[in-house]
Amino acid sequence: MRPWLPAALILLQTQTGLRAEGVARAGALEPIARMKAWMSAVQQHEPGTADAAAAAIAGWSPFELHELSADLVIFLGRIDGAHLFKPRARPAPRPSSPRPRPVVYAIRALAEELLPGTGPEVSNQFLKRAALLHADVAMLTPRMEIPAPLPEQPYYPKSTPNRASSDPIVVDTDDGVAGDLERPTLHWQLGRTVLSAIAPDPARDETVRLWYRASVAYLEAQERFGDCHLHLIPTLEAVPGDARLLFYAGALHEAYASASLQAAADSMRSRGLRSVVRSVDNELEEAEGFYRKALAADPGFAEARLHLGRVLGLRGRHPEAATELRQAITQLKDPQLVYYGELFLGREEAAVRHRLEAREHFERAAALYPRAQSPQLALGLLARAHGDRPAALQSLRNVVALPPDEGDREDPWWEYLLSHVRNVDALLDELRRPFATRSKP
Amino acid sequence: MTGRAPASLSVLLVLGSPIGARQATFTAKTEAVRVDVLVTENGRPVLGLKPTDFVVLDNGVPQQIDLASFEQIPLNVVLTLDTSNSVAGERLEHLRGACKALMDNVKKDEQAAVITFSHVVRVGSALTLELAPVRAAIETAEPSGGTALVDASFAGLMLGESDVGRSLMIVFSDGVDTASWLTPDGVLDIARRSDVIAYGVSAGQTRSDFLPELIDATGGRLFRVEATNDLGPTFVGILEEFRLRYLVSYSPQGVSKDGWHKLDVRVKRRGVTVRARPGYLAGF
Repeated sequence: MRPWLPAALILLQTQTGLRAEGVARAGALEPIARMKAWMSAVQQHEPGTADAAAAAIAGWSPFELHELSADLVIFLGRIDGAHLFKPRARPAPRPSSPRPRPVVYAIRALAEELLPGTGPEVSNQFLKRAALLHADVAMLTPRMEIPAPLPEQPYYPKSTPNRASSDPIVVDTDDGVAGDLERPTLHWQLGRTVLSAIAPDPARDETVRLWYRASVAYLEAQERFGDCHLHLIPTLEAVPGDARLLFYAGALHEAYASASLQAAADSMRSRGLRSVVRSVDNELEEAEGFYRKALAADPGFAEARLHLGRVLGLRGRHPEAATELRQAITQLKDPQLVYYGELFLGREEAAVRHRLEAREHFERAAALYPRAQSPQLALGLLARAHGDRPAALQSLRNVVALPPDEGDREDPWWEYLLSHVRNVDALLDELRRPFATRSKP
Repeated sequence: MTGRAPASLSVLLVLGSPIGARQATFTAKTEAVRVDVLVTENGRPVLGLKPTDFVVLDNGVPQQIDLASFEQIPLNVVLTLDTSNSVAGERLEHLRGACKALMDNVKKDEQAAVITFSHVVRVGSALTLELAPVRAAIETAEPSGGTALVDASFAGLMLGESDVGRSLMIVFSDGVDTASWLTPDGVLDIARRSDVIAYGVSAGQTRSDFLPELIDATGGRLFRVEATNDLGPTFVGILEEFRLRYLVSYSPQGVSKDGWHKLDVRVKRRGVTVRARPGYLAGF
């Protein structure tokens, strides 16, 4: 089993950083040629593969992606105009040079190729494929390394209220230590932009919802929390009230409260950098808020209730936590989630000195995963705290008896903070399947 | 602390169980209180002190010292070693070298045990007079994963309690806990009830809050090292210093039989530093 959060990418607050304008223009395409190349890549790309079309787009510099983004405002405006009374408001990045009128007309003409008949089916299909292309570029092609400059001074005064600026930097962390800095990819932003033109309402489109769920799940599963943070804020605006996305947002903040990411944030602080990761209390409060919203949207969402229970326990609200956990356990079927429920409920019972109840829950967790160390350590601590040294030593003997090789151990606790995205592959498959043109071997 | 250190602790009668090589039985009965005390002057241990040189206040009540000596009870050395990813490479080699030097200084009648930990806690060897398995576990430890410092420290405390004798736990770590199930507060609570003395060796730039608290709770000492290439003398020095700690014991008089007892250990001599645990929990 893989330990959770050994390495992650988290977001820094910055005011400077590299602007797209400052990055390689050499060899950039002209606007119309770029738009044609992009449309061609969208149409040729086989979802879920790092094919030539994805590789071509992956090779575009941040400058070119920025220019594409600016031209998409014209392109998507024409599509909006065909299906809506007025174009949708969306972020409008400024191109490096004003587009002459013939260029604007030419880009609109390219958009009109997607507007046969009266309905939005053709343009919707194209836009969804475009979002899949950008997601695949972000997920499947090698990242274009753009080392961010290491700032010499703190970027923000400590009183700065906003959490993420327009020029973000993400930092690689390993075992609680901050390492290399890099800029986040622009492809998630491009995916969101094209999906905003889905007619009649992207928020009600099942593929759009699935794209957002799968992309957020992917970023959390890959521990790319910096990219995820940037992606989630507009995602929650684009698809409001989605229980799964609210759950993912809660899980992001729960991860921010973890020792690993708190340590990484501290490590950045010592380098004069400020991350978006706030104090444990603040992050747990935020996580609780999102979990409650997820449960309001879907009261039967047992996994969200499980996480809420843990967070409440960490906030010291033990009886409330125990109530949520008991309810979650009765609804959960997946042994991994039941294991968490038993461990967490055991801890809550121990916190209010219900030794027998706590022991019972820890023993159930141990029975579910006999090669897990956490329930044995929990039983040992519980026994020792009540003066029962023989029982404590028996639990230690059980730890001694566990297989020495990590590969033979199985403790889901190590994966808890990523457990909510354990189905990410299935989600991605569900998203891509309707768009596949080649059958999988 | 100079002259009068807040001090120390310990409850009695931890007798072993089959985990250790020397099998024994447990009793929860507290018959006497045992306190490991380090007395130094200008950083060097002070030798030759007698029971009458010590003053122990148990919850503020002066106690009659029965014994103040060292090397009367066999020593148990528990190594709790961080082998997470951040220790990979040269640092792990230095750690192995330091452990080897330490093992070379363990006497024939002394036991040793080793726990290596990443996110996985591995008891490489329980307490044993045969040091070969301990050495082998150290030699074969491979770096990987996160850091379950709190979990491993608890396991180390339990190993230290698993047999008769004075137990020294040396905890080496180069980072903060990123993977434990147990909470620091829970393990610190146990550390305060335990007779095991924890010494810490902290390497690297990232500092754990837990390790200094563990050391304070048990009356040990924390060594911070910037580089690990000279780790051997630090490990050996800890063992030598531990052997020169006084074992002070008394039968509590005039205090309750349960609950937390604040200890204050002093030495009737000017200019000395006294280090011992800050208290003990009776009835456990």
